[in-house]
Amino acid sequence: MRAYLTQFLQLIPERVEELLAALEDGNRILVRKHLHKMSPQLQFFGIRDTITPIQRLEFEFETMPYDELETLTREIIAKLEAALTEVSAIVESYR
Amino acid sequence: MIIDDDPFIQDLLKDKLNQYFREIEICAIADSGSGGMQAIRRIKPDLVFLDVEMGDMTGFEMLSQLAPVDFKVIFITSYRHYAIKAIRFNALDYLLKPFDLEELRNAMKRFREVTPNHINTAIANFRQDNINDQTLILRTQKGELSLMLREVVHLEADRNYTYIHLANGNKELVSKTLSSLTELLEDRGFFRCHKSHLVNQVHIVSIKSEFVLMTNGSRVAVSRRKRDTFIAWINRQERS
Repeated sequence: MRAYLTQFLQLIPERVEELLAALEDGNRILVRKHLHKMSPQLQFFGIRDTITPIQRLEFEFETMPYDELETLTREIIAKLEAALTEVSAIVESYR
Repeated sequence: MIIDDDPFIQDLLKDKLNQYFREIEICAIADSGSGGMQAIRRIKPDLVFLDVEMGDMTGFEMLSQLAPVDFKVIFITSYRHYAIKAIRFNALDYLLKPFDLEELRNAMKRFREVTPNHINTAIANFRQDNINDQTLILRTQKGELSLMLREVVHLEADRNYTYIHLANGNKELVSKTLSSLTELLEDRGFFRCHKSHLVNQVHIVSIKSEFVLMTNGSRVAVSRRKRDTFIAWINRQERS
């Protein structure tokens, strides 16, 4: 589990950066792609409050008004940042 | 062999296989479609766990470039990916990330039972432009049932089973509900005109007030509620 947590700390910040860049570019396709990619890891760790909005964004990324897409994505990013802080504390406690 | 561009998925699957399926030897892990192709040509694996959506290509595109495929494939994909419908249409094995152990056990059991893998039929289906030339593959109690869509005239519900009426006059019984088959076929030229009937557009001869006449002579009931939508659907199909 420790290896997975460490990997979470490595992969998620990169993916959040990619997600932010896609949002800045207004690229809906890339937003969906990055969210889709991180979704299994979030499910694995049981970060449930991100799963439903990600699934919604995956289904509606083409049709959802861009403002709404951006707000929802930024909410997910905020939750990920909170999860990163929590995971970081857990990994630190192993040392 | 595992082909997935996500390091987390590579590690998770590798760990589960090592922990619960010790008889399986993981001979390679690739992080792209092109890397996967090279490794497959070099190693010739028996089984490939293949991601549906990778950075450089989709899993189906990779298989198309390797066809004919002489190894088993278990697709790996995230929850409700758009490709799941195509995977189910072709009766292919798939696992949802992040991998439920019971589903992994079932997939490995099917792999060991050496059930026919329809991957080459599936590749042909993905290549074909004409949907009616596609093959629908269903798992039945007697084995695999493979039907060309153009041979199917209509489908009729019988509780949890469905009769598939064919152009040659035969009918096949499958243990799937009409609703699940509707989900697979509704964007392939089929329309649910009644709670108990699904019809193939290419076999419709004419529409009467309460039924539709099919090429095999069947009169298939059309529900009053669906009649207008059905006629509008036929008009759209004829225009396209």
